[in-house]
Amino acid sequence: MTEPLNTMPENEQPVLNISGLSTVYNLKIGQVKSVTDVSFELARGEILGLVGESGSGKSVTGLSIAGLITAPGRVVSGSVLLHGQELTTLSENALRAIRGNDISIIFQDPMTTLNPVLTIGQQFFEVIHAHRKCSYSQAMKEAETALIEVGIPAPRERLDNYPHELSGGMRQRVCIAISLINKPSVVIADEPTTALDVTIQSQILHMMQRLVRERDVAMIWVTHDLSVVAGFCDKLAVMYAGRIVEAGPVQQVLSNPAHPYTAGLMDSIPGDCLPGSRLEQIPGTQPSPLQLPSGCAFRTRCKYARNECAEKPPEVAVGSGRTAQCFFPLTEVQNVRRK
Amino acid sequence: MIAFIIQRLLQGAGVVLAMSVIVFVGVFAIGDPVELLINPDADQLTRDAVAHSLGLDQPLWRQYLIFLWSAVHGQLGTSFVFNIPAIELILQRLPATLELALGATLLAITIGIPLGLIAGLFDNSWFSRVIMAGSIFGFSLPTFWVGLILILTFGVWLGWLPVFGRGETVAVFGIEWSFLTLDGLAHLALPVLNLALFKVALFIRLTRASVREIVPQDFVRFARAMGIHPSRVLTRHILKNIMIPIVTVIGIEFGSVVAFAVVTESIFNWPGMGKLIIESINQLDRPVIVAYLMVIVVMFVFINLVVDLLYAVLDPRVRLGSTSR
Amino acid sequence: MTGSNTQQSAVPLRGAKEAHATKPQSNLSKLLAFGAEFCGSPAALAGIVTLGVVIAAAICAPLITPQNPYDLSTLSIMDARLPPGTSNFNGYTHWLGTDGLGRDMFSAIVYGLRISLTVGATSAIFALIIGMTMGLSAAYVGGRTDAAIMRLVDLQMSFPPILIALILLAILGRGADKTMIALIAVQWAYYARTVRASALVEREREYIEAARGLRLGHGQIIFRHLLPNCFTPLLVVLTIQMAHAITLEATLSFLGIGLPETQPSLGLLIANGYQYMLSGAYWISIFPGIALLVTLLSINIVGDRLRDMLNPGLKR
Repeated sequence: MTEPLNTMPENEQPVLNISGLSTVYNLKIGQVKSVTDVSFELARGEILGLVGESGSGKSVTGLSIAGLITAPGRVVSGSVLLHGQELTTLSENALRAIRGNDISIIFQDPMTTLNPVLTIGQQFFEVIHAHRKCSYSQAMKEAETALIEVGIPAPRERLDNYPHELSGGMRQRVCIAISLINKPSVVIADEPTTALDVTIQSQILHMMQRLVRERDVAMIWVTHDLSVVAGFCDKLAVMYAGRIVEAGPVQQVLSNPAHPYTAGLMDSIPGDCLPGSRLEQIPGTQPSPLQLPSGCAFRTRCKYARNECAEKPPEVAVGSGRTAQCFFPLTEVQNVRRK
Repeated sequence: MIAFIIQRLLQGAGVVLAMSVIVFVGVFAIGDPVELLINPDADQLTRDAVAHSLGLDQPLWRQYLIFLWSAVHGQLGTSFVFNIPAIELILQRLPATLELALGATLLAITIGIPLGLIAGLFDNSWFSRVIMAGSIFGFSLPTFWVGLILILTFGVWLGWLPVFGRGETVAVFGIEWSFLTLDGLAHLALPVLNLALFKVALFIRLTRASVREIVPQDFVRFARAMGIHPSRVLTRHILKNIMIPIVTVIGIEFGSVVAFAVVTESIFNWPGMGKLIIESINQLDRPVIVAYLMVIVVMFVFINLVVDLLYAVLDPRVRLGSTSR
Repeated sequence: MTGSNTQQSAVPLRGAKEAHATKPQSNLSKLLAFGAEFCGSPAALAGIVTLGVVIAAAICAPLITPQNPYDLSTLSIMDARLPPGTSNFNGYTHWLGTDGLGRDMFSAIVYGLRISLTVGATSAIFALIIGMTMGLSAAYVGGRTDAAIMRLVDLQMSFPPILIALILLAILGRGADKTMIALIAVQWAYYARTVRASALVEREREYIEAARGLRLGHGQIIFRHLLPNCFTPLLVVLTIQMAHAITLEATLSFLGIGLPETQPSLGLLIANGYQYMLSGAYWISIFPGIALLVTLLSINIVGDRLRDMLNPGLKR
């Protein structure tokens, strides 16, 4: 990491400011609270890792920010400020002008994100044309430059290809180039490397990191993989059952987790344990989203849980720029003993 | 591309050949071929002469070759009801049937696809439910009975439209067409509607199913997430994808409409080849039956070829020549 | 759960579904639960009730009809073409009118329904047996057998059913047995294709591997192990094909090349009424048509519901 963490210049406003965001799905079998009271902010050139198991609400958080929640889902409360502008109250038309333009999304599976019957060039044109007047040939020039930036050789030929003619890694590079074509200030990346080979994954991570720094983009990197977050993100927010249970600068959180869930996640990374030793795992399974436990949702699986945990846990500051939603955040001593 | 067309033509020739064997065995070997080709009132001498000229004293495989040889030369026997070559009779009736089938297919597309789109895009709304309920209704209505109801309603009770025959025709390139005159169009209206109704239901269901398959896909969500206007998402992203299965089915269904014209033509007294085949079956005019079947088989092989080509043109994922789908 | 949200909402639901699936269930309670879910749609409930009534009426035809329409001695030409609701000589009211021979339309329809259903169901079941056997053998044996059978299926399915039936009846001639042969020949391919598709998936499963390892006979593996697991999609195809068979039979009979006059199915009744229709005796054609429509509609609604619930991935 080249820059010191979490030090915003005093006069610079955060690009994105999320506070109290809650999203629910009203299903026949009941209401699912996918995202509850999520808050964070993000500055230019900063990467936030949003980590959690599947179903923890991390992807829904990303979609909620971009205003992409459709029925039966609904953003019920909270605010999303982009450059100080409130997005949750905007009309669909105004939101659409922002989507793909100032806020962009990269999806998980590059094999299905591109339209199979349009050429790569046409797909670039669609996205450029949606936001500004531009001739097709002009769009192709831009697209070619964008493809070079994401490391695609012979970009001109690629523009005439259909998606099925490209490999998975190549397609994800194309998706990234399309997402960035209108120079967004915020990019929400929903596990964009999960579906790829490990070698290609690290190439793409490096490329993304470079692009974010060069272009001063604020990025939310949604993932379930803590090991990706470690070398890549600046800040980390850990989600469990729709809430951010712990947030802070990556190195500090990872070296000294305050929430027992974060600690549990770290213990279950195979790389961290000695060969032959038993891999730790969090006992139990995630609670059903229809019947979340009262108070701290993690208490049913937490080995530190006590009676107090049935109440709503407080958000406590556990260091500079660090918070955890827990009655009994882990101390450094406990963390040393844990290892 | 050319290799693909040749491959398909060969396959088609194979199908035609297979069908000719079936038709030959079915009509010639089971029935009496002499009766098939000459007037039943002919005397024994003529019968023997015909039997000899057909080579009926030859083994079956040689008889088949003779049949095939004359078929290739366009000789499929002479209708003993009309006393003209059967193939000529069929070809005379072909334009009337084509006119009917094309009209019905067009009508089915223009009604069915938009309704299917609506039903697929607004899945839970009340009008989608109405459309789907209507499509089950259209699916269940037997074509011939609907024909009767149409005649009863528009012909007998309301008296708005003619219900019998083809009406005035105009010759274009030596072929008589009725859709170019007002009277002809009036005569076309009910048969076309009748023939189209079942296909409307089919296109509604097909379009809805395709839309529901495409809409939740990632690339549609991605297009929306990139701020592309919904109407553009619909035309460029959704429609372009669903057109692939739909165009294929349109081709196949056109063939089916030609076959189904048998029913509609019989009810509306439409002088097409469908009505002719039913009359021929009832009058045992076998040369005409054989000619009809061979014409239909060739037509189907041709339609399937066109459908395959269209499919390859529309879907970039299909590579011509490399598949034997 | 619908459309674009399936992906998003499927995730938070997973926990709930797993919890549900762990409850042990007996076969009977499974069946009851299935029935309850089936009737969850009012249209499906109405469909199955109507179908039940139609089938019951066809079975009990002699009990519920005032007249045996085949017994010519009870017919009087004096009663011919009475409009619906007229009383005849003996004071009996013909609620649906009478036909050209003075036959009570209600009786004729119920008996016609009986014939239509019998022909439709018999041919559908025979086609099911033949198609199932072919499809299973194709999937189980594989290789050339598979290729040959599927070639035949493809060839047949590239022609519309009515055309094939027309060809066969043109060759074979008119008659109940011949009509059924034509219907079977038209339908078997749909069953064969369906059963092959699911059997190909099942064949790769571990339990078939296990059965082979145990050196069970091929027949035993096919019918005891493979078949029961391919049956759900077949059920849907059977319902839909049943409706097709009935429609096709009615159409062929209407055209005068299906059933003979001595077995007046609904299609024949409609054809017979056709000649009187233009002179105003609409009921002779209309009422059998409505009976046919109600039957087909109820079968199709049931089939649609089954398909939605079992969802065997059928294209049409």
